Amino acid sequence: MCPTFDKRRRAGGLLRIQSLVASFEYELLGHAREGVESNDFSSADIEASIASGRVTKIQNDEMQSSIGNKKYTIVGNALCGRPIYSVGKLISTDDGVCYRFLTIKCDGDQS
Amino acid sequence: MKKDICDVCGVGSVVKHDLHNYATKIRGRQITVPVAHIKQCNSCGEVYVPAKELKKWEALVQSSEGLILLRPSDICELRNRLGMSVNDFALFTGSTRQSIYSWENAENVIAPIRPIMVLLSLIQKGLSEGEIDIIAELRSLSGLQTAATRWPTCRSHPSSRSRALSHSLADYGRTLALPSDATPRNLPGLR
Repeated sequence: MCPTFDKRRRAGGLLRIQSLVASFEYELLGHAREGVESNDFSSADIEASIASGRVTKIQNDEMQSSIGNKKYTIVGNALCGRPIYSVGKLISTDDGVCYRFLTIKCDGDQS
Repeated sequence: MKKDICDVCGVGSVVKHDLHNYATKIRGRQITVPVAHIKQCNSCGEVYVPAKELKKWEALVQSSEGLILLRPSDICELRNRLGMSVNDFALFTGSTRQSIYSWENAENVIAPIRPIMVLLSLIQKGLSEGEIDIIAELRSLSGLQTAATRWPTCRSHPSSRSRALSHSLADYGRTLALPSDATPRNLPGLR
């Protein structure tokens, strides 16, 4: 794939995710909440990590339930500066589009 | 519209659900939410927490720990007392206009982060009482004991060195005095 096109595709997805997260249109799966709790993050840290983040990987969503069938891996910083690694996807619900966090970890312990 | 399939089991669909007396943990604290508006898979029971609900839970923990120092109306009143526009107040606190609107909105659950909350409550106290001892106020806000009992002591010369240290720290942060006619124009550091 053309690298410029890939960059634009990543940037477009990130802008949409940032806008949704900034307007609190996001939700956390149980696994993501566990990551938030175990690393002592708050919702403000999650929002900061997306606002300051960059998309490092785009994968196909095997569930095929997301918009564009894509899952985004975003790495950004919490309010205290700790790196946060998150995986999520855009989903369409009755209330509109929302970003669903599937995994949230401190970047150091990603596997 | 596509059916919202559960990401855990891949079979059930995710539907809105109200759970009463829902027990959960927020920042290591066990809390019981009277009515939790969450989403749940109708097959495996996996819980999905919407952002606004999560913020409500965080506010619940903060209020139970006495960390909510100012209510939205207090923040609005403080801004008016300082004679600042929303824009000026955003500059003053190092935040954004959107944040100020959120903090002042009584129906919103967004409170300022702890350092800003502490700063605003110090300014509020400074305005109403004239002069305040910052270190003593910070200690009382954080629930620490008084300075005399908690300053570090020195083993070799406990009395003189610890007294000198405690004096220098007290001098360092002795007073925060805001004039009653304080405006963004005459406060230091603001243009």
